[in-house]
Amino acid sequence: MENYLTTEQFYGIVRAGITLILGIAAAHLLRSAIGKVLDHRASVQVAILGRRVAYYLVLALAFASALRELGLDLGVLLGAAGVLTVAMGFAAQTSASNLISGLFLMSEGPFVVGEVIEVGGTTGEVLSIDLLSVTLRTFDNLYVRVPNETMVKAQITNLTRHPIRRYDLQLGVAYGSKIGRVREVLMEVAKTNPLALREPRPLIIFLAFADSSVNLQFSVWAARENYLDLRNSLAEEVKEAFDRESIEIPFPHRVIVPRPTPSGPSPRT
Amino acid sequence: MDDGEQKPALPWWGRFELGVGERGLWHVGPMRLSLTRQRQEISVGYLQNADPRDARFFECPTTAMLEGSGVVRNRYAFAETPELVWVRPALADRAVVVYPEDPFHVTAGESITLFCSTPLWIRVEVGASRLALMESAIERPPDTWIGPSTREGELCYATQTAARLERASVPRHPHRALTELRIRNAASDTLRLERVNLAVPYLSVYAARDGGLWTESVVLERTSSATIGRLQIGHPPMPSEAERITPARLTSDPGGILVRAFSALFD
Repeated sequence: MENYLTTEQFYGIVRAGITLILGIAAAHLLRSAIGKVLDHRASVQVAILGRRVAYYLVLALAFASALRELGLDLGVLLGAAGVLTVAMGFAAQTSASNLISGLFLMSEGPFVVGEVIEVGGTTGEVLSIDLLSVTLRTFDNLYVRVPNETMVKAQITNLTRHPIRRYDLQLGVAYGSKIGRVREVLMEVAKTNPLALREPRPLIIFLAFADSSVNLQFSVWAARENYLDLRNSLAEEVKEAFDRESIEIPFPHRVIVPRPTPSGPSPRT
Repeated sequence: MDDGEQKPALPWWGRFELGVGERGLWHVGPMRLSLTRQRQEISVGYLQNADPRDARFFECPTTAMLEGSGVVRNRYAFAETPELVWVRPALADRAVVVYPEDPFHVTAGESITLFCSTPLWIRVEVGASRLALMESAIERPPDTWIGPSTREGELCYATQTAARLERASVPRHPHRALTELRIRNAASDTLRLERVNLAVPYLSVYAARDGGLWTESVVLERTSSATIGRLQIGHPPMPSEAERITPARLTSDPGGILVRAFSALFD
């Protein structure tokens, strides 16, 4: 036993152990330092990523140094790792694609945690942007996981990026209505609704002479956080104002015009 | 609620004492405010969009009740409720964009002084330490946006003004504060004044001897064709007669602050 304690092998084990312990400590310190720097200068996702990369990089270096102290040939290990990497690469193509897509998402920043986005027919609040996926919470409280690869390929609509938003109310009025009076009534509704921004000014856009009505679009702006309240209150107030002014929102209808036959008596109307 | 006779036009703000079981009632413009003190709770009720007539009336204590649909009630619990109640006006919690009824034109090198009013908030505080209980707009003004685009700018309140040029012709309302606004156009082109951003969070509320509510005077200087102006807080109104009753929400630099004073969209 005493002879063993003086052998080179034993000293190697001790040196490897010290190297590993120092490496782990250094990894922790570096992770903490990187975190403090990135927390104030970058987004949450970048900070998390930076901490992880720093930690595992230093840990890997410490591990490799410890193996070298033990006398192991790293070349053999690296060769085996290379073969393993190729095999895993084929198996993990999707994960790698998601990982790389995640990096692109973080650098491009089309959305951040807390914003509301619409992607592929799903609308929800962004809960997290992880390495492989983005998680959303829908408004009916469902948890949705969207792979980063899908996010990069799809069209993403960020509903809360800008501080104000426009609500477009499409409506139709009867052909017998005076359009000028309709405009006045709509503008008065917008003026009396405190959530409707005075500027940008509300707009009334002519859409079409449709089958049963004259179609208009009434566009009103609101602060982002008031969008839903405005949407609900405006429709109600427009309906009430139209009722007061006897402006009809018509049901679809058809007018039947009887025509006389080429011969014989005219049909009764 | 019994409106009764027209009450004397006393200031509706100030310090009041409410005994246990007593109630105070205020009519300020279109707002009705009720404060009821019990031993361990104070109940605050308010109604907006009421009839603005018979305004600037208060009765403390009173037996009248605040009733009707639309009354918002909140109850505040205490181990022992304080006797002192403070009711005072405050300016808006955001900048207010003032829209003259008819646009003004201020030619290059000229300056004008006009008087405009902005809506007030009502603030209720209790106790010697003046613990804030509630604050609400007396009449909720509409929102508006001021900025070069819909992506960049500031959310403000909007109010319309007759923009009178003479102090004597300015109507007084108990729920609005008056500001003497001096606009200097030091740029080389004419300023078409369709809107002015009055950064009211930087202003204080003063009570004049005649019961009117004022802010400090404001000087807005436009030095270039840009829509940004430098706002400087001027002197309090009638310094020998006005008492400051509510300080500003924000503090400005002595050199003034840059505001999007005149900006329109897509300039």
